[in-house]
Amino acid sequence: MSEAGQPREVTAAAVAATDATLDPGRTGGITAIWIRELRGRMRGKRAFLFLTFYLSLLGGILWLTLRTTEGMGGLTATQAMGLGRGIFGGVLLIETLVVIALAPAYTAGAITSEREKQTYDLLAVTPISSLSLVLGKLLSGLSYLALIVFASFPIACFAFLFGGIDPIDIVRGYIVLVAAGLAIGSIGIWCSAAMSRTQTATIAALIVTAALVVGASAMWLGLDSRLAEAGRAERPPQALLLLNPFIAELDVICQATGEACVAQQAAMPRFGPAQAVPIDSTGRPVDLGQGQGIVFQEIPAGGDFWPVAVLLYLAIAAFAIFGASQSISPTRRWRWHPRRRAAPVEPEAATHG
Amino acid sequence: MSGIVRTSGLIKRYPGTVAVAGLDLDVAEGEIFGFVGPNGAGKTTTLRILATLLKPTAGLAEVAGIDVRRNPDAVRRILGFMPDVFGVYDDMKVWEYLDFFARCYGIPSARRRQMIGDLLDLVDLGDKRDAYVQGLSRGMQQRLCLAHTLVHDPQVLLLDEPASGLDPRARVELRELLRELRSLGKTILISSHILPELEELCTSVAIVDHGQVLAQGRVADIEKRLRYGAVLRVRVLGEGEAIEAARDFFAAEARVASAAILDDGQIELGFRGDDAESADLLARAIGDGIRVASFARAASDLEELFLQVTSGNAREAVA
Repeated sequence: MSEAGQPREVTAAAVAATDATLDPGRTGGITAIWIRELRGRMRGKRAFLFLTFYLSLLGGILWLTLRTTEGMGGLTATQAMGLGRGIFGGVLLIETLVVIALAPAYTAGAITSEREKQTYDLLAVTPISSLSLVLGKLLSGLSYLALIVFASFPIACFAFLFGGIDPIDIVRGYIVLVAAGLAIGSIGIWCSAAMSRTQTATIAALIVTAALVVGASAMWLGLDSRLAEAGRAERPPQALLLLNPFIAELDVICQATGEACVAQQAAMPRFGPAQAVPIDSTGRPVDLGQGQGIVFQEIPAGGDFWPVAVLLYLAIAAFAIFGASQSISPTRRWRWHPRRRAAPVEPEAATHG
Repeated sequence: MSGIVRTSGLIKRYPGTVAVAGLDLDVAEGEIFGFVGPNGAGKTTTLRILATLLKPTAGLAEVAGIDVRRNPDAVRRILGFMPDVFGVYDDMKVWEYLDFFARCYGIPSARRRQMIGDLLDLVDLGDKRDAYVQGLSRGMQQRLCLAHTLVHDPQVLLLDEPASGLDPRARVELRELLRELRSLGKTILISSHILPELEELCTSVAIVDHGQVLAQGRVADIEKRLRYGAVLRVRVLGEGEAIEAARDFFAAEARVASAAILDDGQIELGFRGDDAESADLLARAIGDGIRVASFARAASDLEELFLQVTSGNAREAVA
């Protein structure tokens, strides 16, 4: 502070030197927003009531499933394994539905609500970077969703009582869930950053999510039926199915059971109903009319599809986060600051200041 | 130029309109600087550009020598901004509100607790520490918002209509608070259209209209430059006809644009001239036998100054 009545010369260098410590940093900014959002979201009964309702629902389904087995007079080992896998698969698919339905809803209002409540300007003049702002909002939006998903972890672990499932299978299932949640949540954040009203952003996020999840799979089915009608063996690109987290989770389930899944079947050339094309020893399709020995290609078990899907979800998340940080405001665009070397001081410049 | 807040040729265009049209501003450090202008004059746009919330179309805007366009991150660390309209977060306590912004500015946790207590005491909200923000009165929310601008101890405060919507008591409290902040060495740029309030508070003002600064400086200095548009009040001895005769005398003078008898018997003259010419006028009146009891320039207030500056003739005089 200058002495009273004695204005001092202000220079950018002096200011930079005195305020260098006032930097929240990337994690500091994210943490600040995350804590504030969680304080707001977890205060009151609503969050806990919904969690209780969701867990009660899942628990109820599990209880009903177990009740149906009581009248069977004991389970064989195979039946028990089937039941374990059924519980595992059921919980995973329900949680996938929850993630797909709630991730856009929890994130699409993250930034628009700040604008609607007229709190955005207060936040925008802080030194938090636009990327930290987006990441903080995404993290806080998905935190409650993560609580819902991971709170059901013990219910999924009931499968272990019956066998047929390894712990690694559950880990794989949750990896897909987290990646899908990140991707869909990031799409919601992007809609929130680019639009001014929460209602519009939520609708847009739900439409984009539906287009990716349902639309791409529907497109695959449509293309496949047209190819079948044309009597062609090739199938539509399997990549269209990667966008559907249900198929990725089915792949995880199939990997646990050692069976081929819809993803693998969809990648096989068509040869008759529900049958893979026969191939010769070189891997080329066999012309049945030539009377050569026929070797039906075995459809591989699940497990090769979900890792690609996870990578795709992470790429979508990264792209959407970048888009959101660019859309927040023209004055807060994320800029790449390459490390600059200090320019050598020219003697003349040093002399003249 | 060594002003801590400076704009030069600042322009902000929107489709179909120009909000700021080449605005030049220079605010010295330690001032409470009033930014006066009618609605739509470009005050808020200018403040939002300085606060790094808007990109200017052209021109220069600097805070403490830092270009707001080139280095907005550095500017954000040294200024506090209070918008004209702001909301509050739901489900948040007063201390949490300040704690959140302190985290945003990277204030270490060891300093935050003490700092929050000090700020709440400064804005007289110490007893509301655990109250919910949305439960505070408008005046309290305004003071809390002001406190949030101070969490990082900024050099410059940009306050956009901080007294709007406040009752008289809250306005007085806010005024005292701003004076206290000035005594702490802050430079405060405050926009308002409640002119009497700014007059009491501000060390300098800039009068803006149509996106341009029409006059800038201390109120007294601006007034000096506008002497050609002064109002003189004359009290003459006598009643009735004596006063009317005096009025007729003044009305016939070349430099007097208007002469009117007020309810209290004084004669108000619209005078176009400087101090020497008003002295000559007085001498001629006395020489004409008018018994002048008092002859003085009407105490000009900011409101009057504002009206003069924003009128067409005065604009030319200032230019």
